[in-house]
Amino acid sequence: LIAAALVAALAACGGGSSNTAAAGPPDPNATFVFAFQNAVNSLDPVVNTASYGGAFLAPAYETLLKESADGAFSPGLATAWSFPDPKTFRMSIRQGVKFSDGTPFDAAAVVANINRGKTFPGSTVATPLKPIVSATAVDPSTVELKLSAPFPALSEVLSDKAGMMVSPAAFGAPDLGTKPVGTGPFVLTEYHPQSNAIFQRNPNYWGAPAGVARVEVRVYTDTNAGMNALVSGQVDAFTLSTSTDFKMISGDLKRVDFPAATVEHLELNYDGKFADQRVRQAVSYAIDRNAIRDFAGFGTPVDQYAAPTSPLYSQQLAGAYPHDAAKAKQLLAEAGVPNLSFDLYFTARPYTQQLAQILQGQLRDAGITVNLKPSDGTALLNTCLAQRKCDSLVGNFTGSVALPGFVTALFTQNSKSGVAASAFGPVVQANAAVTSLDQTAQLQQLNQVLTEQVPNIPIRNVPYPVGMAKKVTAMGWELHGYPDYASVKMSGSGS
Amino acid sequence: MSVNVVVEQRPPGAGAATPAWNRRRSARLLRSLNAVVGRILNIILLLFMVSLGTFLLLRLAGGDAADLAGGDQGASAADVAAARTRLGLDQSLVQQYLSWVGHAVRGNFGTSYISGLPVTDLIVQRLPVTVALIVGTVVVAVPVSIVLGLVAGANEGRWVDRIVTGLCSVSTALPTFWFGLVLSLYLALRAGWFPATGFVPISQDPVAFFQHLVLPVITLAVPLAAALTRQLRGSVAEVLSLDYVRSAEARGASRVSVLGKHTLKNASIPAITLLGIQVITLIGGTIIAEAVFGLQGIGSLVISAVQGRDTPVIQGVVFCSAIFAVIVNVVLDVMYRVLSPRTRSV
Repeated sequence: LIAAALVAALAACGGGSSNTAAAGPPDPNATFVFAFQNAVNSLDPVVNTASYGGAFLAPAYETLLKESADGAFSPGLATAWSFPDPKTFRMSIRQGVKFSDGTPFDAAAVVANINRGKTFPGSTVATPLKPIVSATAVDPSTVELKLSAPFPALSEVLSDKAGMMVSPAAFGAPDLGTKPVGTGPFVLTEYHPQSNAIFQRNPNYWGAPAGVARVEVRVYTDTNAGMNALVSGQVDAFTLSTSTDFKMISGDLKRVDFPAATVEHLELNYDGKFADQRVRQAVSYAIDRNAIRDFAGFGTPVDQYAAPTSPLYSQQLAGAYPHDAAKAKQLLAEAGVPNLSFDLYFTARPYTQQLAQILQGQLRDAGITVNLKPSDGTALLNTCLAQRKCDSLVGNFTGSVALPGFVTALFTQNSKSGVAASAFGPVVQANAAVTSLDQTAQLQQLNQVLTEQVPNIPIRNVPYPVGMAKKVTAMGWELHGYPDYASVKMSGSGS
Repeated sequence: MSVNVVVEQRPPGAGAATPAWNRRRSARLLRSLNAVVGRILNIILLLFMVSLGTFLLLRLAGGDAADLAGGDQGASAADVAAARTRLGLDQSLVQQYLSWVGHAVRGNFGTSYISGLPVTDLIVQRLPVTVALIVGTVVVAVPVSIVLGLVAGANEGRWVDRIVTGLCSVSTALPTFWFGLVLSLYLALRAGWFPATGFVPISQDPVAFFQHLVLPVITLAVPLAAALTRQLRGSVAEVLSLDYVRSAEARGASRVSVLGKHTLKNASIPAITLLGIQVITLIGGTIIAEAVFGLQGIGSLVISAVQGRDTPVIQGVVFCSAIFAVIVNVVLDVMYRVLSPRTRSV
């Protein structure tokens, strides 16, 4: 039911596909091959370090809630949820669900998973779960979470890896990192770490059976190789990166742009050279977002903290930082740093590299010197900034209604470095005013305050342009950049 | 051709071993034994230096696996410290290195910091792809270069030679990744003759195995064949001008027999030296071919390990590559002995 609803919803916003006239009837025995640009370190959700880790986890693991690109939440393994008070979160747990090892899924399993996420040595979800003080199974179908402080980002946290439910019977299994045991629409049959993972339809799935019999997720770390695999029909779908890739989509291939709340941004060390609001604003004015959009070939320039897909997106705030080198120079002069110079770190991928060079050129016009620092790993860079050892880096954030999660992450990092968030008093206040993601007015206010304070600099809303074979007749898309595998349907005849 | 190793023949006609003969024999045996022991010690020292060098270089690169503890969210100083303790990275460098050596000598390369999987398993899983690439490349490049090198060398200065030499110059200059992309574009995407990416184990489907290997092997074999051809061509031309070849021809030996029996054997020694060096550097070349053709071999393993500062995996791969280099060198030595009697007494 949910899968169907998702497919319909995504089809309505450009997902799915409309040009399927040539395709034959759906083939329930088909294999869907998805090419993905990154490998993951582990198939255990609490060990997996990647924000896109779901690409390999989602076939077998389901989350408690589901979040879509417009920031709406829908039921996953939890059927209903609420904040009876800002420090209590209550969920109703789906009944009649079993893990692939036969263990029944119930409230106790949810509690066990949350506790495991909080306490597993080196858990990558411990930080997002930190505000949860205790998890209790009120009855077999109800779980109550007590929070140390109001935590509106919780629904978002439970829609991601921290909300993926692993069979408690498998917690002790030494091979959980390579053999997932979840409730998902597929079960893993073959896994070659950092190479590919093959899943087959879960015969005991609680929901509507998946549309294809098999799913294979294959790693192509080189974009050209991935594109060649797509064009030659070896894989059925691949995320496109640049406008050059778009030109290769023809014949048996089609391009579908899935909306996303992802915002490409410059993340700043605001304890260092960017402590002064005017300096941050100057950099924001110095960026020509339209030129960057034109270079990339897709996306929407944004200078606020909500993506155009989000209900929080404000027309008034749009264009708050028009490209204005003179204004940038003036602000820098006022701040007393007319010759600003900073290091910009980025991962050495083709697009990011070009973006960094474009930014360097644009900022030069405003008298700002950017020293380019290519690096080899995203996670290393994020740690570098989290510990305030780097000036700035090119990254992404999710500009949906889940803004409080973004702000919490920003200032969790800030407090991690031991520096108080006092410089961002207005942001902290605006964030504290939000106790639930239903409070549109407070969330809009938060967006506005963030836009004035610019703790980091939004550049472009980046949808997911996906190249796929025309025989893929239906496909939903997840927030973090991979297919909703259960919704995939393929025609038997090709096209 | 027989392989003559250093086995002392009794002088013909000698009856029982004389004490003098026995002394000479023991002295020679001792010298050979010394050479072998020296060689083994050399190899051990080399492997030790390689592993220590890798270990220290990784430290110089900055950052370690603990920095990745927070994943894409970034890690706090406390998270990193906890991860460092968990991974044993808080021990002194000497302790870390010695602990690695202690396990490695027993064939245990440890577990990956990033995936928690045994390094040996990761390498063994990737090995078939890389071995297939290297073996395939050598099997294609060597015969091609022998034919072209002989033809060009025997016709020095003529048009055949000019064409071959010209082709070699162009092929040596081809950047591997560009050449791979061009092959893939024209032969896989446009013509559809070969699969554009991927690898199929020979046990699963032998035909598909070869089909998938064609393009990556051509990518790697063309520059290798070019380098070998140039070397062979030069030596063949040189050997052909030597007196003994000329006298062989004067004695009425046919051109083919002169080329095959007298010339190739002597001309091949420098080419074999070059082949040894090239085969070892092929490990580096496969990294590029793997990326272009979406193959998951040792190359892609080591790239992700370097990005993750996954010391045990990097150490394991580099160590295995060093062993590979040692094996290649030993094979080369044996071939020298076979081809050139002068080296046999060494």
